[in-house]
Amino acid sequence: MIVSYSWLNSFFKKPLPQPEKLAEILTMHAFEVESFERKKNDWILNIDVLPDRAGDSLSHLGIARECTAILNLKMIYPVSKIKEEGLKIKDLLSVEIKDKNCKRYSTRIISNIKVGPSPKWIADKLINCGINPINNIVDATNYVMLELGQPLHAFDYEKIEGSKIIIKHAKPGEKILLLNNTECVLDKKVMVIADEKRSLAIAGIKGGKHAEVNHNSKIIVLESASFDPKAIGQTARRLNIRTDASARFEHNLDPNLTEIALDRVCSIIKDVAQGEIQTGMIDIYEEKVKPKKIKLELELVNKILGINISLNETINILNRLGIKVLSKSLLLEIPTFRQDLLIPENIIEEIGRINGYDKIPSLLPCSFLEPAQRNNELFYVNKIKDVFKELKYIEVYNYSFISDKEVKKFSLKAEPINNPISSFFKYLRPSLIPQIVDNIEENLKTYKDVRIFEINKIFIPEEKKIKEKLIVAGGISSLDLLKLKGDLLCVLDNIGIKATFKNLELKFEGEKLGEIKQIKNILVFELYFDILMEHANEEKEYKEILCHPKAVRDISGIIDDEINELQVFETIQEIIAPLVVGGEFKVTDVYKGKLEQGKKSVTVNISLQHPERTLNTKEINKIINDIIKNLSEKIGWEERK
Amino acid sequence: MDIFEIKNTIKKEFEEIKNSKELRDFSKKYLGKQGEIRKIFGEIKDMTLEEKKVIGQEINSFAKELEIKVSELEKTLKKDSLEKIDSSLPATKTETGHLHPLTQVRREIENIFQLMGFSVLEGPEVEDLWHNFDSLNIPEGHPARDALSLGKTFYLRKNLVLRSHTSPAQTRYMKKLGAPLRIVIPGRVYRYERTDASHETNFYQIEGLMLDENISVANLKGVLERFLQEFFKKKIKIRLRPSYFPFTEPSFEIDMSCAVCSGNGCPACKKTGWVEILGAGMVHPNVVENGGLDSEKWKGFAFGMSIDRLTMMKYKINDIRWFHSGNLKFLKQF
Repeated sequence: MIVSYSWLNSFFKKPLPQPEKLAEILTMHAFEVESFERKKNDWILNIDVLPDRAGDSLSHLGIARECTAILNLKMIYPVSKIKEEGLKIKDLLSVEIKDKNCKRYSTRIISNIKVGPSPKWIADKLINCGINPINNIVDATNYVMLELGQPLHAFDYEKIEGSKIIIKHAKPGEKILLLNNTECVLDKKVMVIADEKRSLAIAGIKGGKHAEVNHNSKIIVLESASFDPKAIGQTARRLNIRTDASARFEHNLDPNLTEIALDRVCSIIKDVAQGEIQTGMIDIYEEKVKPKKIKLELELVNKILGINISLNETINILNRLGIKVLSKSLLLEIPTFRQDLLIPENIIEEIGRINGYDKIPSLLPCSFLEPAQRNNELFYVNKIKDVFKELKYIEVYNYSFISDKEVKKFSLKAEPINNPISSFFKYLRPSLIPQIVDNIEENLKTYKDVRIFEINKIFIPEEKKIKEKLIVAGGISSLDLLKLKGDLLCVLDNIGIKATFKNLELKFEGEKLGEIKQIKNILVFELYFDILMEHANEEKEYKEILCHPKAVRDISGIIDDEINELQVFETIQEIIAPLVVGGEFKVTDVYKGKLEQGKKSVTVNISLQHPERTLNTKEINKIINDIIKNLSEKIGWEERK
Repeated sequence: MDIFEIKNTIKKEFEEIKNSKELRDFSKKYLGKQGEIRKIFGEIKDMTLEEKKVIGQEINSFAKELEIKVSELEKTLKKDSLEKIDSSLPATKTETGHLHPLTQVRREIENIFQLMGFSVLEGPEVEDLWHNFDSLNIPEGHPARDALSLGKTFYLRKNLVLRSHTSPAQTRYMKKLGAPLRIVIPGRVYRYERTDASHETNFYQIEGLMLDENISVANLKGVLERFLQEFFKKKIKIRLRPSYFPFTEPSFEIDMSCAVCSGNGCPACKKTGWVEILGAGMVHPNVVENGGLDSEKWKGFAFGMSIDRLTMMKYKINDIRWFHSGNLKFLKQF
């Protein structure tokens, strides 16, 4: 809302504070003043009226009322002088409301007007407020809208077919040429102001060309109406026409304002365009809006705001806001221009801001020393991120959106977004991998070695819902499978999961935890966080550190290619465990050449250590023989001599 | 002459040797032809043959032992000698991993709130219309809903949307956990927005909610002021300005005194001394009821702030789009 400082000042006998000061006062107590600048002999304030206050504050009157409440000033209201003469309006025009979304329709007729340019005092104010002057009639309606907040419209009486105004739904497909010379196709949800033949205006949004007031007009019909805000807002958005009128009608304008504004505009037109105001007013107003009553508890005011305001001060503030205090127990009557005040909390906000939010102290709450609960999922997410960082991976964040390119390239089934912002962001990603690959390829242009990871949600389209799943994904810019395998096993080990790795899959107790894939020269991985959560734990137990000498032996044998490291180790462990002997074993060599198909030669390095004494050769040989025996029985180990 | 004492002095001196030069001096002093040890032989001339034999042997073995030690130390010093390395050459670059700056700042924020007893929870990113709008007192046809929904929200199938704020978690957790309640909900949110240096389609918010029987605006001020002081590690003041959110009443826009200039006015705060930092308010009674709680009994505050913005302020990042760029030149800086 663009506000003229001098216009605003005209509402008061005493001058307002200087523009800069006033801007600060309004910002701290009512609405943010986004800017203020000098314009000719005036100052222009750009005020960001809050959406719930658009009904009463998108006008100079509204802002003046705010100044009154905040600064405790006396306000002078604009006066209207109406001298009725000539014919009775009822003999000239009839009005019928066929659409319930029209809450009130007030109109007057002025005849013998002289259409011409507006006087300077009107034109200047309009220009300062960003509206181009057109002629003295249209300008007067705009002037009153800026002054009081009520949008008005003037029709050329002689263009109204059948001397009848009907407020109704448009005919589907009906076309209307608007004032700005654009044609608009209407549907039956659109409310129009029509005569017996055609639509003259889109109600509350924009006038039509047909009954436009121009320099030939002699008799005019002035409309001051009230419409359902929801209906106007939805139509304006559907037709994509936003005007100063629709911006006001979209919010809760006071239906009781129509009459005041109508008289005001007639009074101004009489001044600037002469003419005779015909006798009477047509005013269709079925459900009169009356002031609401709200009961306020002072105790609640102080409890919610955290201050200690007295009853007198409260009453004083309420009075300044135009709220009538009906009793000392704070039964309040809310003026109808404040349609936004519905519950006691609304009034508490009013008292708080007028009294000043700076008067509210800063106090920590008094509460039980209940500790914050640990979020287990978050704990493990953080743990995993930390381990990846320790392993020299870099964390990336990617958008939740992907395009056709990724969907095709990776054969994904992805949930489409109804209103994507661009073709690059058409779907919700069902995998983190495509972007990880892209990140690695992009960064390889700068860096030789790239290791990245991301932990974020993926979205899986299911029949009845869209499933969200947290995924740990990443990749490295090489094909060093054993390194990546080591990294992933290390990550899992850090969250208490002793996983196994086979055929590029990570498993725990037979359940798949994730996998590694090769994409060109890149290795990528995925771990399913929900499954990790089932097994993750922080249990750790100290293992005795042995100090007696180790006996180290190598054994070599041929086994089926199918048999993995873990099976070999488990078979060895079976022998060692019952002897209470500490043991370590690692595969030091695997050889497949020159052997029978499907076989491999494996060398295992075994170290044995007794917790209490040094093992002697006899004992060692017995253990090694037992191990070999067990290996050959359980997994078909053929000892190589 | 006390052999024992001499041996001790020499041993002690040996242990204090720090570099090759000192070692050379030591060798010369004790083991050389004119060395101290040789001199001892001169001094035992007058002793009996028996004594000479014992002491001589002892000195000899000590000298041998010392020679071995010296030559060992010589080798070690040679190998480890920093003297040979030009320390002004560039360092061998050591690489570490990096956490995303948003992860780091999010953790910092979470930690501060946890220390004040706020539990950290998360909500779904795919929300239904009821939680995203209706439960927050933004019914169909409400101007705020249209402003947020038609212009700013991504729609999915049926009644599903990508959450346009973290606020839907308010009613979710009221229903799930009841009151009193002290929680923060960080997470990714989505806005249908043309992107530029300060607008993104994917960004991060943290929602805060405290419900109890005696919670006031003064407490909201207290908690947020303390949070900002802990986060910026500075004395920070805040001020409340009137605002409007359908799900809080009263509603506030909260400014903090500029952390760069301590409120004196600088380019970062456009010379005002204040920086707009978050939106907050007292939870609207309708929202408390939508969360299945008695709005007469349970009052409280809620707030929402952008993690991206705090991160940008903290590291002076000038373009929000870096966060989702996947560019290691950016990520390796944090």
